[in-house]
Amino acid sequence: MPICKIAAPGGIIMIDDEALGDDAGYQQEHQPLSAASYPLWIIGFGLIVLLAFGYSSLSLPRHVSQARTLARADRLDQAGDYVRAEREYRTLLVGDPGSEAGRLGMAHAIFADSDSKNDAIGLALLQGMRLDKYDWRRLQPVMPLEYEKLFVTQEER
Amino acid sequence: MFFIPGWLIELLTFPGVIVHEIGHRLFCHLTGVPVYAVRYYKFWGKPSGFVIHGPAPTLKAALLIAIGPLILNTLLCSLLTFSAVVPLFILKDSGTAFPDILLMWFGISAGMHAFPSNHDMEGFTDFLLEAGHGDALVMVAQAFALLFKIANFLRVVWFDAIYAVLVAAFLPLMFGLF
Repeated sequence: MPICKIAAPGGIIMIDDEALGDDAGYQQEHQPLSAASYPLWIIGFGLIVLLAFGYSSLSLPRHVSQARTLARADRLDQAGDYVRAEREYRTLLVGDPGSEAGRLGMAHAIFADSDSKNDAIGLALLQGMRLDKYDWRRLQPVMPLEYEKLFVTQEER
Repeated sequence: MFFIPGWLIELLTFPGVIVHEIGHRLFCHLTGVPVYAVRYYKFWGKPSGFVIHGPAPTLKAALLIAIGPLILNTLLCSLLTFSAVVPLFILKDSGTAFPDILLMWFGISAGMHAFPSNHDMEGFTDFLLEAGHGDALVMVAQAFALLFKIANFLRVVWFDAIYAVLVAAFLPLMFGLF
């Protein structure tokens, strides 16, 4: 009976039948591996990934809820309902102040609403952030002109 | 479009190679096919990984063993990246934790090595021919194999990475997070 050989991704390579010798002989000489026998380094690597997955999964429900809030806020912002959008962004940022997507959205809503007294808050939210060209295209039309000069352009390498 | 040597991509995504081989091995065990030797990953190895197993007893077993990596790697890519995609790419959390980065790397690597290799699919079509299955079935299998050959060929234009990204985006899209 033939021994089937399965090679790896990326190309490859029949193990030469002659190198294997007689297939039946090969089967006699080699004991099948048991289903549970994996090398220690594979088990260790799997455990590290499992631990990372467990750790990350703990915060998954919170992250999903925050991402939904962000999606809701973005929809309101796009629809021009800036007051309700700000409320949603605020809810998100209370739970996750490090969310740059939330800070950017909130800044946009603040700049775009009719109340210019809060614009400084919008600017403060952007402090230290690196904006890509899409972020800038979104913000620039609603950003007060005097704020634009506070941003520096970093050339792409 | 830029090109990176294949060996470097394989090195950077080596967890995907390991999962690919585990995918073959797992479905061998599930279908009762003996496994004699496994190379999970060897840098500069030709091949970098392989599974040597006994003959598949049925068409179903042969198919599952051939496409095992497609199932396992895709599932792992989708699941592992899901919890990392949200903080990394949706919320764009500035305080991203190391486990999320690790999961993203592992998940995308798995996704990039999901396609059965040309050799995997040749093994499957050879099985059909040797087992004397009907022409229609062989033709379907050959068409299937051709699809994967095209997918493997398109790796030069990052089709494997595009597939991994699409798989990683699937669950967040299903949950309406984008």
